[in-house]
Amino acid sequence: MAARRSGRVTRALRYCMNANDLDFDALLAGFEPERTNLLPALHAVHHSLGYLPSWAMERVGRQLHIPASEVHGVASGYTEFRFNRPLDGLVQICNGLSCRLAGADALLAQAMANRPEATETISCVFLCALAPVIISDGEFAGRVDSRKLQQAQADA
Amino acid sequence: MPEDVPLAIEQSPGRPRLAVNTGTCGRALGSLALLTALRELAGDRFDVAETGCDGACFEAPSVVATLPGRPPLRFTDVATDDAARLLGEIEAGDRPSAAESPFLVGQRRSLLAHCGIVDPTNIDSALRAGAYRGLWRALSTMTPEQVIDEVEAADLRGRGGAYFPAGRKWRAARGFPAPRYVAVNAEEGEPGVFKDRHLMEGDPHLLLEGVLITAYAVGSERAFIFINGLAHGSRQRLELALAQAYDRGIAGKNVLGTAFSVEVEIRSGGGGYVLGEESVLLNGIEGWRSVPRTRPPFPTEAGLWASPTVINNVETLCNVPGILRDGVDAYREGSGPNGTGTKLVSLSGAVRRPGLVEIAMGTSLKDLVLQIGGGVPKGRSLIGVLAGGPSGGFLSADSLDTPARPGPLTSSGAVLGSGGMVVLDESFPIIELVRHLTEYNRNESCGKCTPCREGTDHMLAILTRAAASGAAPSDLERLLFLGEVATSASLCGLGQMAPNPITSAVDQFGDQIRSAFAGSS
Repeated sequence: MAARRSGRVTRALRYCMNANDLDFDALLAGFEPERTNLLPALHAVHHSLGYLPSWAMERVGRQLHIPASEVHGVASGYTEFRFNRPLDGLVQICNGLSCRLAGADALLAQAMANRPEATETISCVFLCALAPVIISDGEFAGRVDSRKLQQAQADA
Repeated sequence: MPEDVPLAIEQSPGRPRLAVNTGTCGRALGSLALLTALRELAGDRFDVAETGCDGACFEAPSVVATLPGRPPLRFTDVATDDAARLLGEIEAGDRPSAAESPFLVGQRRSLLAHCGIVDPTNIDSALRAGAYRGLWRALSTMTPEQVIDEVEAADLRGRGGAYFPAGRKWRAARGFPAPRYVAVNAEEGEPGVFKDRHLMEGDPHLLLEGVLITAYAVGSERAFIFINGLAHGSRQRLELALAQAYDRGIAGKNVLGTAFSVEVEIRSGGGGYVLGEESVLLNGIEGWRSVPRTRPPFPTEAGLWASPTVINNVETLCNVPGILRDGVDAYREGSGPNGTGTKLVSLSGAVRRPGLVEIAMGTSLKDLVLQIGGGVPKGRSLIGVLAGGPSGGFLSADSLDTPARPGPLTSSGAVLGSGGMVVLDESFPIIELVRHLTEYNRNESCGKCTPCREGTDHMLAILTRAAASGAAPSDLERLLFLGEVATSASLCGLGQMAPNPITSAVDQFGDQIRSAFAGSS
């Protein structure tokens, strides 16, 4: 349990990282100005900040010699990129068919009643054999019941 | 069995072994904590190794204990608090080994043979199990053309769902001037499918070996593996495996001391079903928007950077090492009119033993669901299955007596596809399932083609009304017409196959669908 806790703290810190503390030039320095590096560079930024603010996409564009509008265009085509800082304790409830057959609708209702601002659905987590599945603060959890969900939201 | 690869292979520790499933299924149920606890408690008495999931996800977290001279012991659904008790039981030796699980009877384990057994974090574990022998045979005794001949003779077909002959694709690409590229489609973004993840997490060297053989056959010096953005476990294990392969001279310059060199690069996607479409995936690697390209030219002629590119699915490439290592005859053994080799099926939904199953082509879907999967849980009733996800279709319980095979399973849209199979009970009316899948397709449309972008939205509006019992018979006609337009006028499979859930539901559950469209207009 202790190990799991410390893991969560690191992740929370990562998401809350103040952009001022990040050496952005160093982060992007390794990416040669070629278009094929766009997605890897976006991933690097997203991983460091937890989301893609506009200014960061502009900086990526400058590094790779790609217009900011095109960086936005590419980034917005990917469903997993966030453009706003995610809330701590975000719970994503899988809305795939197997999860719904296993009671995901009830979990969603429960999560929404408890913390609507930090509840989302996701179309599939690809852990269908462990349905119902949630992602809690970036961490996968399978065979989730009402109690596990409550715990995940209480831990936030 | 061809000779060993020319490498020094470290011998196994020789101690009793505990293998903990730390694949994503295990981790989602706490197996990393279990691994730590077992390592602390076992000290030097056991070699506590990590493995991927062997497909029996329903038993995770699981531990397999191998003691010298005894059949392996399998412990399922192990809680971290049980670690001490489990070690005690193993050391006391009073636990009988179980009969073969009904989950395994009826499977033909070939690609999954080493999943759950080899340690995916340790290349020596894979080498001891025979990894890279197929590559070594190809490099040391065969020309690229001979490799293509063998893959064609094995009749290996694309396991991403289209079942296009892999050898023909390779030969086509080889017919155009270099540079040529290999792109591995590890995007696996279809809801309900988790096979490639199991292969990459459980036996990453199998995929790497397939990629290297393909690159050799095609004459490519650069290969990309494009992995789904949520498949963190696959990426981690493949990155580690690739680093170890470079370190041992299996990838990179002068592979295994031969003249053949290839650089392999791993990329991550960022979500979106359409990314798994091959031309969208190429745009993803090049750094363009996630939209499909017009064909022709096909990627084998002009793919990555307008150069010939072979795109194969992970499962397809995992078939290649076995063909080269054991030969075409062994690969084709037992195959009938339904194709050669095996197929991985991701079984989930209302079934007692959900997990990843490997069956010989031609196995009946009924056996798959009822025997291997164990049927629906007690107290619920089997309605049918959804085969092929949101691009596939429904099969009613009465239609399940059909063999797994490439191509359509029914006349109306159900396909084996990439092997996603969701078992359905009476939890939801069929019309709600169709609405659910159409909503998914609407959300995932990239927006490039109007019939897909606008059509799926209109289809969803009609189905939403039908699910709320507010639709008329004429709405059903309009729905089917919109589907025909999307099928005939969309550039890629997402739009072309988006109406499949609708047409197959009408075909298989006609009365229920028509009753949802019985209102007045």
